[in-house]
Amino acid sequence: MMTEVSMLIDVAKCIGCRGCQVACKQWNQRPAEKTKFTGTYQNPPRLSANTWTLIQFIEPEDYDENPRWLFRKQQCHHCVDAPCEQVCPTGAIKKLENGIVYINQSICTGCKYCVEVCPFDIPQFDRASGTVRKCWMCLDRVKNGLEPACATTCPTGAVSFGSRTGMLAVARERQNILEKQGFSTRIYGKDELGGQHVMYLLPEKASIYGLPEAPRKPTEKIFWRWLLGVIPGMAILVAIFAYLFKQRSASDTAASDAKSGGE
Amino acid sequence: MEHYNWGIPVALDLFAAGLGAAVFMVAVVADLAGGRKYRRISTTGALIAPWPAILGVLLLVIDLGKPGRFWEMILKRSHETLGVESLMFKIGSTMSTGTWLLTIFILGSLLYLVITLLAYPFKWAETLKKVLGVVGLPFALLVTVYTGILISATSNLLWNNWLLPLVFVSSAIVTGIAAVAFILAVLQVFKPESKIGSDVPRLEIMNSRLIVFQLLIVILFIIVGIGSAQMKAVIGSAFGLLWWIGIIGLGLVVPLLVGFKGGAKSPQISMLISVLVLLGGFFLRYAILIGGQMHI
Repeated sequence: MMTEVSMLIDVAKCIGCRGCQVACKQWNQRPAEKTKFTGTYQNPPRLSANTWTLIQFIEPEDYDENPRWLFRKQQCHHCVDAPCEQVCPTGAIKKLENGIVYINQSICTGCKYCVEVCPFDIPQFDRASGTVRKCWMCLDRVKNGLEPACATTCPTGAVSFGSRTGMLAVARERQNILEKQGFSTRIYGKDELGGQHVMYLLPEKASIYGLPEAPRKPTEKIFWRWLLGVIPGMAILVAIFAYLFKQRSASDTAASDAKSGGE
Repeated sequence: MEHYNWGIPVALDLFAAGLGAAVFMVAVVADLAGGRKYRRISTTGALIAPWPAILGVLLLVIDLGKPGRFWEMILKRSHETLGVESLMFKIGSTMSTGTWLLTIFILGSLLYLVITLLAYPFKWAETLKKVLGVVGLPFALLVTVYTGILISATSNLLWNNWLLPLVFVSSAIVTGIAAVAFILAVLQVFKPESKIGSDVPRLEIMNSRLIVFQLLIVILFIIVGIGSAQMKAVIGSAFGLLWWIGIIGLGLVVPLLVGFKGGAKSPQISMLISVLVLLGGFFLRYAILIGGQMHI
């Protein structure tokens, strides 16, 4: 039985060095991307099939009143209740006992359903391979007792890795410190979508960091949606039947004409 | 040009799969309601029902990143040995459910086509046809619903609208009736002396009533989704022209007016009206599918 692993991202400790981005590319042999300078240090502009983690550089809307520059490491959250895994029609996406959600590249057909379903916009289609790719929490390293490349490289301790219980304890400890300094904090991912194996310790509202305040599983009310399609659909069919049945006598002449005309 | 995850092939599938299944339902319901009296409707429907769905499935396979691996949706492979373990089916995955619904529908509608043809010389096939039709109805209806559930159960702000499945279901049925009317009108044009198109005005009148319902559902769909920037873009930007003129104006309102006036005056006009309904149905899928993926 593997222990449940987790990553804790303590955004208050992040200095935006992007060492994690480089380490991720190196370990997972992802090529660099040609990008254009758009006035922000955030580069590449968004996650892609070759960029599985990315530091978001955020200047909040109320920057003028309260100037601050925020960083968040974007990557797969490895949800317990992973929507991507639930909708994957081939079973290529698998949740492991240790909590890691990974895409088996020899099974993925590139249908892109997970891309549309993920509430965090994480999985990305790779046009070169025809499959979808995302962070796999360096499963190969973790299996061999190492930490993921990004956690190993982080120079400030903003990214740490360990057992889920251990990471939660660290998060609570840090939470106390930040609360004492006057921040209202949230451990994002503790309970969201059944709990996530990447947790963020946020000193501000989740939406400021580009995270949904209350992430929802898009498939959660699917049964009712089926019913909402099926029942009115049946009603339409009954209406068509009733109309055609009533009009039967009117079509008698047409039918007999057709018979004489030779069908 | 912007690259969309799901582009025109998927829009065509959402349209074609719904159309084929709806044509099948119209054929079966007409057969149940009038038997021989609606034979032209039911036979035409039975003859065309499988083909749009087959085309749709082929387009979906082509649109996969790895088309050669389409069978991964049918057979489940082990992650460890990569050997085939069992059939692949996941009730929570609409794509998996849809794969099976489409497979069953295509095979069933092909069988229905054969039996419909057999029912002309052989009387026993008549009963078999009715039984298969009734058994096939729920599957066909589920195919039309699936096209909406597939994209509505996502994190996409425009698609995640509880009315979307119903928008697609009613649009499928409206386009299905138009498809049957189109074929009958074409046959009438080619054989002017026959009465083969005599059911067309009836279909147009019936469809105009359903279009009233479809318009209501589309308006409700807009109201429910108006909070999202994507919806505002779809009905307000360049897409708005397609939406208001192509989908609502030409695709729904014009056929509605013609139907309420007692149907088109000539088979040529009937052909045109049916084409408008069919194009409107495709543009509806296209505008929603692409509109939802625009980065705003």
